[in-house]
Amino acid sequence: MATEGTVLIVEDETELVEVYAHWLADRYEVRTSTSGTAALDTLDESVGVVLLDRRLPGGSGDDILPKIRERAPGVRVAMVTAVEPDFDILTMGFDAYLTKPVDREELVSTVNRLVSRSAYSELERELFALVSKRAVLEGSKSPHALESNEEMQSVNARIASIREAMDDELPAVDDDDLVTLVRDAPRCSRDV
Amino acid sequence: MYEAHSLHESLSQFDSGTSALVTGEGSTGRVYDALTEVAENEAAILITTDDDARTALAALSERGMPTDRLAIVDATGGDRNDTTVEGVPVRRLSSPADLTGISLEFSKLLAGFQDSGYEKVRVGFASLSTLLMYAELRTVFRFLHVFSSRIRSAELLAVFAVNPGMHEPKTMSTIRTVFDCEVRIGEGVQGTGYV
Repeated sequence: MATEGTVLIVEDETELVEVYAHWLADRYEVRTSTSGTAALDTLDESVGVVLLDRRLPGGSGDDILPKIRERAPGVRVAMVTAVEPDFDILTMGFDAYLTKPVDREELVSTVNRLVSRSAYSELERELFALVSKRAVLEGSKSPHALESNEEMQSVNARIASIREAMDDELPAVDDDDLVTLVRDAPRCSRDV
Repeated sequence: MYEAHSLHESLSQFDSGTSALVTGEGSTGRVYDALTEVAENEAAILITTDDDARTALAALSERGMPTDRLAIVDATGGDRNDTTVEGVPVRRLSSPADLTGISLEFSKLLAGFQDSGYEKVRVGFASLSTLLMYAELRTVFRFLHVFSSRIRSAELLAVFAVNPGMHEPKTMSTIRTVFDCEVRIGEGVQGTGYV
């Protein structure tokens, strides 16, 4: 289960690695790799965000991406690239992109955003489970009986609290959030 | 969630950021009505899974819809590939199940209108019933939740058509959670008349 605390930086220019790590170190645990292969070794399910340079020696960022997803399915990946890509890049599996030269504010806010998206996503799973449960309860009792039903009241209270938590994680949902959160939607009710 | 009985009077009262569900027979027509009322400084985006772009545009034009600030996401999956229909930009997807594609094309059209200076955009979706036939409820729930949050954040207005008779009560109950309000057509049951 990915925690929100660890960022893996995959970048072959060592000065950049140090700078990025320094910017992130007060909020996140940082790991670094200078190549795609090394990154796959370092990557595990505790990594929440990967910063991936698109051009790496020995294999492009695009090629490594599916392998990253295989190893750590819930991880968020921000691509670092020299050229601003098309918005459609999000459908390829990246969660965000940063164009060089990357500045501190951009880097930190992007990582924060990706962590929030993961948290929002987890909350949405809980929300769906509760909403489904409520739908079952509604089907099994009369509206009158439901009003005083304790289980129903408890479910409603939890639903309200999760929605508040979701608003706290993403007070404003932007286009990138929309596309990536829908892209990563669970496919099956049993997956929740 | 509150209920209203007249879509026309409701829309003008909806706060920006509202996502409304329109239920009952003829709900698609009501979504077209809602788009037709687009204001001068407002643009409109239709996401259609039932009528293809040409058919939808004909229905809108019949209602007097201004087409100079309209764009369509056609997710009916037909084999046409024209990118405009009578001057109206159309983005086509291969299936109503392509919710990521719908989200992507919607976002691009929205950005286009915002870049052109339209602060307000109203969005029509016809219909959720078709979406539920092609995609899992789980996936549709995620889509609706995030989409309506997007509508809220951008202070737009969205109106979704659904025919409850086609779905299990559990499905409808789940879907209804997402929406701020519901307009029920044709039900005199609540006693305040019907549209």
